[in-house]
Amino acid sequence: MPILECRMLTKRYGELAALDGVNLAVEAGHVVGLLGPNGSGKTTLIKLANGLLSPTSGEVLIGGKLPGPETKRLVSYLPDRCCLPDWMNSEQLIDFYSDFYEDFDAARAGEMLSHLKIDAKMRVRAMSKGTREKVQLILVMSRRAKLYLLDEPIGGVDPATRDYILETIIRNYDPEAAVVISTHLIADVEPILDEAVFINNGRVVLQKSVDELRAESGKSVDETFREVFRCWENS
Amino acid sequence: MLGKLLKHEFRATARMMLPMLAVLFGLNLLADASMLLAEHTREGFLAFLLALIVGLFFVGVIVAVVMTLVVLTLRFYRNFFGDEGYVTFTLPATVHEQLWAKLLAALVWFFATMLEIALCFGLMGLTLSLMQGFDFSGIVWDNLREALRQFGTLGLDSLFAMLIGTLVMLLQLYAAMSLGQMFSKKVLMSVVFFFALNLVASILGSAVTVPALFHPVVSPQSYPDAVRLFSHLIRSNNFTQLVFGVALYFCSVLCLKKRLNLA
Repeated sequence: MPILECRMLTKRYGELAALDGVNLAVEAGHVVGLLGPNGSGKTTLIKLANGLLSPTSGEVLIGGKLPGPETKRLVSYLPDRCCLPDWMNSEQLIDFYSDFYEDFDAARAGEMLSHLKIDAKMRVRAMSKGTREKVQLILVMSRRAKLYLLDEPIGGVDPATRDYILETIIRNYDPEAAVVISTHLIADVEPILDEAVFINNGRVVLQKSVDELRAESGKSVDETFREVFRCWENS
Repeated sequence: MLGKLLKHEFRATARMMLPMLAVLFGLNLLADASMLLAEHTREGFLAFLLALIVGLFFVGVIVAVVMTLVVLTLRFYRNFFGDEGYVTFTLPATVHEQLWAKLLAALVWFFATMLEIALCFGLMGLTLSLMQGFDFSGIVWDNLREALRQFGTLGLDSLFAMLIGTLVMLLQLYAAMSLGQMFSKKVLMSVVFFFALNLVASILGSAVTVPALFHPVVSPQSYPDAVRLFSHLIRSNNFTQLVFGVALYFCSVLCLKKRLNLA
């Protein structure tokens, strides 16, 4: 059974279809790139999988179940912005995550914080944007989740932080879990992807294994992405 | 899970509420000391300053009540529908647990504020009794006993009405925000829904109290009948409020479960 499955998933905002009949299946043990330009529907899909939005029609299933408290135990979600309460410090955040998630590894989170020399007593509001993103990622990746949904984890950070984030994702995720990374920065994530899903105008336009894609086109995923979306722009 | 949610809810709200309650208590001590000092001063400016401090305490009481309402409303809105909502609604908790955690913590803070205000006024009465030489605790106790003798269960009904009134006010705020978040102009729509729900509450209230006033059996001119009428009114109102509160609760649950919109 796929860990993440979308069946004719549609989300409309008035006349605008943010997602339009998406069918998608993500199996455990894969790192999947949800790739598309800005406004293509990546964030909407991830929010729907987290139960933060309600679909207009169709359904999204996590381990065969509709989003709810049970599926939230399985999913570790990194939003596209810092959503941590700004009055808390890292120590309090670790306590918060330990309380709510049985699979949260507080020791691992502490190690990563000290490795990055982040003061555990510093409040979120006093942190730089990059530090906030690192703390949020540390919290998300310190869980032994079945599915990691990472929305733009490398958007808006410097190249060094970008490398650290990708390294953290690969080093910390359980090989039996699935990771979905939504981004438009394909070249940076390409080395860690097993599968690519191209999404545009709320529709999945391609879903293939990265090796297959490279073999068929003789190009990198990044080059294929540019080609596919140039076609879309011109059409 | 509710216990954990409550723990973190109290931790989040205490950082605002505890200093506020401490400041109010400090103001009360200052006001009490000022009253005692004012007895022994003849200097005009000092007396004015001392009166100002006492006045400041009364302003503090109003500010404390308003602040409690503002802090708890903002906490609900930000924690549910602001950026923090992404963390809140990805916790493995049910919508019922999330709502109850907010509601119970808010109720506790409201009653803590009321209790502190009562305590402050008690201290003020005690200070006055020291100055004027009367038995304050004796007067309070006698009055309470007399009220209980005269009004019987009316006092209990009124206490219950206070509890339900606070509960329904919070539920009305929560329902208005839960309905408002479904639209793109969340804040504006929350305000609109709050006033709309207020209108519904007023209509429901009138529908219960107005017919009761024309009850043929009771005559408000007779004292026991008037007490009975008030008791009847309060109980009817409590029941209507309770029903309205339950409707507001399920309205919020439905919005958060089926129509959550953290777009």
